[in-house]
Amino acid sequence: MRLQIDTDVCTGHGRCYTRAATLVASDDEGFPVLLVADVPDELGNDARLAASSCPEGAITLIEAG
Amino acid sequence: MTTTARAFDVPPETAPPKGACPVINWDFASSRPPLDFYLELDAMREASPFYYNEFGGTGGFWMLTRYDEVREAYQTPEIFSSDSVTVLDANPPYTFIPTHMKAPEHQKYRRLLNPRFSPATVAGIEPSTRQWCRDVVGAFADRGSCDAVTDFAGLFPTGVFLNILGLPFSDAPQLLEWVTAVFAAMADPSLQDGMVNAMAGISVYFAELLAERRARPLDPDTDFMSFLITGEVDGRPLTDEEIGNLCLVLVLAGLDTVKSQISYTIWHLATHPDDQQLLRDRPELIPTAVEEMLRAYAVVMDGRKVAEDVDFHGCPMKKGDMVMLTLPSATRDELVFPEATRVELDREHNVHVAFAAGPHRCLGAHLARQELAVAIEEWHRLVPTYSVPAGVELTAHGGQLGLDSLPLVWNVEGA
Repeated sequence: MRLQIDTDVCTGHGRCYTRAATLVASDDEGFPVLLVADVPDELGNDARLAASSCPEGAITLIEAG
Repeated sequence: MTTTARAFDVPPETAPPKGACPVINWDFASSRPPLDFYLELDAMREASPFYYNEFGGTGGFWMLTRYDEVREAYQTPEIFSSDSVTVLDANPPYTFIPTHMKAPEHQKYRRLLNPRFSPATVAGIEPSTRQWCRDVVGAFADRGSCDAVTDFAGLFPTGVFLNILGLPFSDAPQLLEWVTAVFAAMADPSLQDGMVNAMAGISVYFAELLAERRARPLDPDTDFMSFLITGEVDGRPLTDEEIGNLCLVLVLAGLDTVKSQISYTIWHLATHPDDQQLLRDRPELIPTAVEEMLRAYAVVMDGRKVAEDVDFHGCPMKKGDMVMLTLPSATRDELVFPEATRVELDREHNVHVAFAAGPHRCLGAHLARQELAVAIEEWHRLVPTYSVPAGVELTAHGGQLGLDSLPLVWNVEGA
């Protein structure tokens, strides 16, 4: 699956890198930096946590077809 | 020639000025039992996503009760502007930085401030936050009783703030008094004189600190005022006026909010022994519990000012109207949160907007989260099983929701 962060919508709540530090990190201002865009299966739960914790709805998870 | 007036000759009654939106008079300010604000809002949200509330004597304001519309408003700042964020005062006699600002100016100040409030920076002060919390709780832990609002919830975040500014903890009571006066006026415009006096007091207080730091600068990496002195916007240093303004905003945004949130958190745990025990048994749940407390007991009745005439989901809003983004309702919306009115301290999926959303998302959110987590951890480390004494009737005030007082008792070992 693929993880996408819409940087126009993100305002830096920081829930994604708090819930899924394996996939997302924080920059100096507290905005997320995607560490892994193509999420391996074993990190699928982290990816779902990141997406389902975003108060802005800025994170999209695209399941592999 | 006769003129017969018939019903159908009469022009159809013009649409009600508030569209299909129910017009109410809901008191969001007066004190009542702590849970009542939430229960009243739960019932209101169930009945309608929108209201026009005539309470307050300023002509009324719109209320958004559900999550989706509240978030949409936050994410549409060109219509729901921050020119005013207090529903009973559409034209505040002050302009806060960055609270009242618009893009692109707003982002310039946020870019300066964001790194100072990032999770990494905030983590750096965690040891001193924790030590201060232990000091505050330690002062009464072996007494077997306290008022959790006056002895803890107010004092703790005030001390954290003073620590960031390098100011003595002994200033906390004065600062708290000013902040309380400002928030009292937001729920009751007749108290505006007290608000203006308090803001003047805070301004002088910070002007004196600024003069001191200009004369004897400290390390801008650790001292916040020295950081502001070296801070730049548009390639120029901040003016004294801007620095004073920012400090006033931080003190107004960072003290009463955390105080209110702690008061509801401790109240919930005091009145729900199973949840209190759960956090003692499984402290690893505390970060999730913090988010759940923010969701179930959001305290901010936020406001936005309509920048242009708009039909918002059937509500005919006019330029200049005020809109309440009713967070204590929106974060309990069943359409978004399963079992929304239940507190589930292990709730995994939690997209609450207790820190608002959109470009004005709370600057201090990461600091507030740290304060709330440390407060729960240290409180439960030092205070054994506690409860509200029998016969005490608790109340909470509105405007910004918070308990008026919270007497608690617990058994002291050996007593």
